[in-house]
Amino acid sequence: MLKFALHNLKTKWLKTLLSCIAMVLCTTIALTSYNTLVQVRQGIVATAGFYDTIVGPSGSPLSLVLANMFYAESPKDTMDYTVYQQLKESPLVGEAFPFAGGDSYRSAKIIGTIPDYLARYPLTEGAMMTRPGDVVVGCNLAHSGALALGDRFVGMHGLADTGHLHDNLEYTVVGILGKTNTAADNVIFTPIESVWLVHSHPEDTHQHDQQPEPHGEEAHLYNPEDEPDDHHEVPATGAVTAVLVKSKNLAAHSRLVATFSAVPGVQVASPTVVLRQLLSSLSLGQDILYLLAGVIVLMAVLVVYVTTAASVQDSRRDIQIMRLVGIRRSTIIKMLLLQTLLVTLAGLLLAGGATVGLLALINATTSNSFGIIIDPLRHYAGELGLLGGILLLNLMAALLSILPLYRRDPLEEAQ
Amino acid sequence: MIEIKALKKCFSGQPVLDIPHLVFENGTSTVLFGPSGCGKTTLLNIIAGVLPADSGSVVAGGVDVCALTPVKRDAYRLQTVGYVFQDYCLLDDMTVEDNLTLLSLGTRTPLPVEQQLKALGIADKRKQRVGTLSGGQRQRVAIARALIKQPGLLLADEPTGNLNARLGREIMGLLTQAAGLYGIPVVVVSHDRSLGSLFDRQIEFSSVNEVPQDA
Repeated sequence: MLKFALHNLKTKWLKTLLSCIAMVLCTTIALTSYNTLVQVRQGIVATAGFYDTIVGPSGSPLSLVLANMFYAESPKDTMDYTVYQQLKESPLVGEAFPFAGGDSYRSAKIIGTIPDYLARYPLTEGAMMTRPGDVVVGCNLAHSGALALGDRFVGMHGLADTGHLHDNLEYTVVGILGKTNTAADNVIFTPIESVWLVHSHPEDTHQHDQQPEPHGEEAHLYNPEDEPDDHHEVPATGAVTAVLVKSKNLAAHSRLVATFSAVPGVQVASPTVVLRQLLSSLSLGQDILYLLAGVIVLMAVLVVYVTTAASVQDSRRDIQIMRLVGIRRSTIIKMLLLQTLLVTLAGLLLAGGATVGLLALINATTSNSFGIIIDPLRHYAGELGLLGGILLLNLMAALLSILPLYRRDPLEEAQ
Repeated sequence: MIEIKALKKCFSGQPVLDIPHLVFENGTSTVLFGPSGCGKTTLLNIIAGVLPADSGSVVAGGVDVCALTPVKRDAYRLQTVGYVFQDYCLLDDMTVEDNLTLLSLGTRTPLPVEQQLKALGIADKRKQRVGTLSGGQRQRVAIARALIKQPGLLLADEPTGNLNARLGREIMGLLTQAAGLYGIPVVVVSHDRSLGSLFDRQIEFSSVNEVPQDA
């Protein structure tokens, strides 16, 4: 039976191919929409779930969260380091981590913080950053070949590739983080003092429109191993863009919000509240996307139905001949369903591969700016359900196009 | 043996066939002559189980075909009936071999394809697409398909209609030989009276709704 089914598909190869392509396209879009939405939602929850408070300069809470938790945009403003010190010493605070940023290397953000912040991320290679100029890089930067252990480079002011070079400090990659599926995978972490140091020198070379390259040797750069130099002294404190806080408990969180909201020029936000608002607006987009994905799947089924029906129409003489020689109805139907099954399975397998490719493309083009990592190899049971549903609908569509043939006179159509 | 009793068939209220009693013996070949529309093909189709009768019985191999359900009629046709259809009814896109082994979809029994093709002189066409064959070669493939399952009866509807006289005589010869060779009844519908002498028996369907008579 398989031989006859394959033979039929081969003789109608153009229709088979078109049917397969239509299904691959529609299924890929549906799978990619679903997968992306789930990963974005999970990415937001995974990134924001650990901290209950973010303290930063006055302004938009969403902007504060996006800039300092997802590294999705430039921090708008800074506040004094003393705010972090006060938070750190507060009995209401369990943990507090300061952030400073605004620089980049080849579009990857350079984030200054304290080494303890990275304790919850796995370090797969090298060592933890300890001194100004040390950097620990996210796994995607290492895997893409942008940076490797031991590489040295200078940062660029701003997040675009057109800023000026901060060539008063040479960074050295001392460690590489493991995969976290969060924005940290695309970020360069350095001790916060590094950020203060590069911004404390007015005599930066300001070489615009120049892309820095990692290098081995370069003179006149700050290196902690060099002799101390008056001009390159590490500042004791500087500005911070935000402080991420884990309160001791819920009551402490409420008191913390009340206390620090009263500090002039400072805002206190709850990442979960901000992100819940973001997710609820995302939810509307999600519903629209699901609706579109549903329409696309329906289109795929319709296309397969039309092509299957056309193929069955083309085969109707063959089918009626089979009826005339006495081949059982169930055998003929099974053979035609097998043909549909083969086309559908081929289409779904190709769609699976195309989805991985498309997710990789989405990740490559959006993760740096959006701050959410899309793992092309991460898949969900819902996708299997979607594939199963498409398969089932296609088989039903095929059956619907086959059965009417049994109401026709085989003698009339076969001769 | 095929025994027909009180067989009646109408199309759109118009009687087409009315046969009180007719027998086709094993090992004999019979040709049915008569004008178009007199019910010759209808008779073959009822014997083959392709068409249901309105009333009466057709007993072939001990089975009353008229009493079978459509599904059982399919099984009867697959196992018992060798039918050479008008215009061949072959799958043109498939090879000669595929057309013959197609029947294995129903039987699962290995079929002696090589032997059958050799007997009909088309062994070298085994892997050729039917669509590329000549009319005579196609007719031989159709006969091979009818005989390969060793049927209990062989029917042929105008098997020489598209062939020249020499080929027609050759094909009719193959069909009449099958009756003696396999000991089965062979019933052939034809317009070509010049071939009548090749058959053991000739039956005349003189006009619509008249009892056929031995010629």
